[in-house]
Amino acid sequence: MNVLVWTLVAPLVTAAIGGLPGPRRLKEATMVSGLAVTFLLCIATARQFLEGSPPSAFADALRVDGLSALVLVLCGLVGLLSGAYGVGYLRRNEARGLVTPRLRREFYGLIPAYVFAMLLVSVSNNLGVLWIAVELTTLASVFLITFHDRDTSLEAGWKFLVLGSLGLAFALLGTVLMFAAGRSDLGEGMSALHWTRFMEVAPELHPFTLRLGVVFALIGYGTKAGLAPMHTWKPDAYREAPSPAVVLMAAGMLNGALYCVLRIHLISKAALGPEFSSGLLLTLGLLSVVIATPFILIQWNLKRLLAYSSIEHVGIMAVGVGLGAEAGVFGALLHMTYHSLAKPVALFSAGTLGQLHRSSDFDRIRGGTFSRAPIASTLFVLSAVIMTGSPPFGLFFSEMTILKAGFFGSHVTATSVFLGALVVLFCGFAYQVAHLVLGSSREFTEDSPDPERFDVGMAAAVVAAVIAVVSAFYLPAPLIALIRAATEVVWGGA
Amino acid sequence: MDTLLAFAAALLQAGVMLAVAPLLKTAIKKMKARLQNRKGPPILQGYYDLLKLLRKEPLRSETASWIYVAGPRVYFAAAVAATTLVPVLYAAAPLEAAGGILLLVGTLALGRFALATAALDTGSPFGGMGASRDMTIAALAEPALMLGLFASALAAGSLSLGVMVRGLLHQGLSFHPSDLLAFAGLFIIVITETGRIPVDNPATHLELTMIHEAMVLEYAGPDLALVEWASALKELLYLTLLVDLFLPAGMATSIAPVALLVGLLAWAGKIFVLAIFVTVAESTNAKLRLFRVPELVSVSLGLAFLALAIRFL
Amino acid sequence: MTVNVLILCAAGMLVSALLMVGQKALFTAIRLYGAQSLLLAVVAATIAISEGRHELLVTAALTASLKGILIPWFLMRTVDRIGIHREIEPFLNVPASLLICLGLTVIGYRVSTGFQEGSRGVSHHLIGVALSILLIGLFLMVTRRKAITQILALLTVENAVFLVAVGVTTGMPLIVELGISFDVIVAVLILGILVHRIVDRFESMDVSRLSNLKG
Repeated sequence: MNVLVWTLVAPLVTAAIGGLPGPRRLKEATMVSGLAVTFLLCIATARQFLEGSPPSAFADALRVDGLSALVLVLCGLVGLLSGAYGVGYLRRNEARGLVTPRLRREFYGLIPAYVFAMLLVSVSNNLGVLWIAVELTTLASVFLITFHDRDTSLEAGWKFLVLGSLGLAFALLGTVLMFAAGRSDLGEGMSALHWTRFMEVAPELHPFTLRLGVVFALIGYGTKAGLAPMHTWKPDAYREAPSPAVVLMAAGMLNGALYCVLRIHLISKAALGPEFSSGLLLTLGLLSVVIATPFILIQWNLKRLLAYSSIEHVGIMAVGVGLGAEAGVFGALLHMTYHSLAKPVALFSAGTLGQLHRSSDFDRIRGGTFSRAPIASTLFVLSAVIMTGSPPFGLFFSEMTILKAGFFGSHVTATSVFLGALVVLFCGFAYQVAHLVLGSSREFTEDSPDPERFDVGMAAAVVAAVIAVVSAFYLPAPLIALIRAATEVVWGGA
Repeated sequence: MDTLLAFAAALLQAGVMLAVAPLLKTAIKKMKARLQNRKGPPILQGYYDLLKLLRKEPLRSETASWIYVAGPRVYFAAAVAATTLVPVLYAAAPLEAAGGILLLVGTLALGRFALATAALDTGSPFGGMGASRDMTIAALAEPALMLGLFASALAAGSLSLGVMVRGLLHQGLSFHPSDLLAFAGLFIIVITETGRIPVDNPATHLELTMIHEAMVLEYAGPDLALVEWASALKELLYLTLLVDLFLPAGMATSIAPVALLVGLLAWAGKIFVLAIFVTVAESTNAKLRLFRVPELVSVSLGLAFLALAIRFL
Repeated sequence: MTVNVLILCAAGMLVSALLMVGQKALFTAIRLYGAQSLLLAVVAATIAISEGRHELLVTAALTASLKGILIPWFLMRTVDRIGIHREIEPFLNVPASLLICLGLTVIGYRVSTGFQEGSRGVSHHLIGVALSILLIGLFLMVTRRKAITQILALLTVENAVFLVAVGVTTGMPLIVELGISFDVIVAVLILGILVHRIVDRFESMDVSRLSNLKG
């Protein structure tokens, strides 16, 4: 079996083992090591691609090109970090008696399963398999969202599944219409739905049908990515799901959904010319950034704050691609990389703060967390600085690249609006974070927060922070090569 | 000469329809009973009832005027007149030269008007209540009926039923989605106009639930016989209308006795199938509350309108 | 002959969708969905037989059994178990909803004329009906309050997508179809479980009460 298949088998096996009952230490160790093995296999697959022999499996239904390799590696890393943090997270909850053995089994089974589905998305060459994989991620994450079984969890889970299924129905319609657009040229059997086949016959696809299909598919996959106006499930889902799962959603699935969007965009570019889908992406991206802004300013919950930040970032990535310049595409992919490295830090520290205070609502946490939980607060401030795009960190450079592409290209008004929104976002975020962390510690009348301890979860958060900081100054050469290769795919469409 | 022939054919057709109508009514009653695990009345019960009523003495209120007497008669006459405008066995209506859809709907409306006025004439509260309820429903059902008929008329290019049927026979078996939509809409109207569940219960005499029955509560003897017969005739007429507009295959295109026989059998078979539809619709639905009936009729109106719209898209 | 069957079934699906809009009884709405799915299976089977694509027969059988029988049974059982108010309370009254759905159907038909097949073939009707049902399903999702009716609306949208797939492309590769069907089933099961939990927690299926999370 080639390395690609192993990369997918590893998390699947980990999930299966995780679902079985067993002693706690053993289960924790299995999950973390399973995810570590998965990550190493992702790197191995990417390495094989960089060496010039891109792996593929099942008659090219799964295929690794530049874009796939990049997303694969990022998802693998996020999966590992999430697993490590998850161990600490679950331990803390167990200390408070909130976790039954059945819930623990669910957790250890669902997290690797989610990782498996994400990885499957990133290597799918077949549009049908792609859709099925995205649906699998939806199904895997529903039970993670309703994990805590609160009233609000049910509401969030319901909204998530209904909106997600609706989005996926749209994406399915889009896929079907795109398939119909090239019915006579695409051939028969499984390979008729291969993305590579679509790219080959792109100029012969029927324009009207393809246009309709692209619109539906972009709306559908855009719902999964969290682009406005299909983003309404995100804040609720982020707040309710346990933080390790939220990391997977925010940095893993976001990349995966963006991957789907990019594949559709590439087909549209090849068949209809760049303006159609670029225009759509630009609009959706701008809308996301602009809509996220007021909600960050009036936010009342820590994890929802990070959800809107996520929406902002996916908007930035969409804008980068939608600007239609190579620099913009490079900036977007660079942004995706740095975002995947920085988001875990934010979520880990926010998650820790939330766990210590028994709630992530601001009115529970607000005021002087620094004195109560110094490490988590520092990490959170650090992550906020990184996430809002401050120099010298990576997101600043990616945003600059995108802005440059915008101003020197033909979309000056759009880029100005974009810049304005980014500035307001920066201020808003800074305001919220300052309110949270600084100031004198307030009195807690009931349920005082737990003291901070340096446990596994905290260690994972610190490691993530180190990675995020180091990456600002140094990215390993293979990673840069992957980003370049991905840009080639998205810009050149090969 | 032609006119004389037409009138003769009209009388013949009216006679056949009149003869078959009570059979249809009892057949539906029997099928409903079977669905409810009862045996139901004997198949000729409709005729027995009519005979019984005709032999009785008519009881008329002293305060009622000639309108009260005229009501059932005009109602009956309108129903019979309407049957002469509709092709039944042969692919032409006997008096189709007199008019088409509009005349048909107008004649039936005349009958309804006469009955409602007569109900008001008795001065009894039930009469007034039944008349107002019936008229309310009619105000909604008639446009729906007309739209449904127009959908087929526009496709055929004429308002005359005979021309429509001949056109459909010529075309052969080919359907359009608007046909099914129009059929669904018209079926709902048929249920409405013949006063069946879920719109109205033909077997009830409770104040809250009567519509048609309330109008004819005062009648007895021959008057009641005329009303009942006319109602049965209307039912047969509506079902025949459905058959004509949507599945006219099998109708006689020549006066040859064989063709007519085939036409008769085809017509009887299709009416029977439609009667089964009506029975199933009656048996599987609960009667709607009165103010929900407009919603049902608006569904029918919507379907008919859609049928019209889709034909041109 | 094939053309007639296809047109009748597609029109039947459209009628069932419109009747669902005017429907107040929950059970009847579920049965209408079941009838719609069975008609869809007949369409798939007819196309399979007439064009000799036998994999489509498998999909047709799957649709009939899963969406036509199993899912309606599951939904009716869920409603029974929950045992609450059986009426649908929409945000908009019936005549207004119908009027809007009329407009949506006209839009769906208009859009379908732009398709490859030309405007007068069978595909035009199939796509027109499918797009209309899609829009009606979306409308139902927005204007209905009960959780089960939202599931029904979602399933109606899925039916519409499948009709487009069958009508325009004569089906996608079998494995893909199987995967999609499996996904839909699991999604419905999970939705059913969530409905149970929602009713347990909130004592009502009214999803407009699920509005605590705002902003």
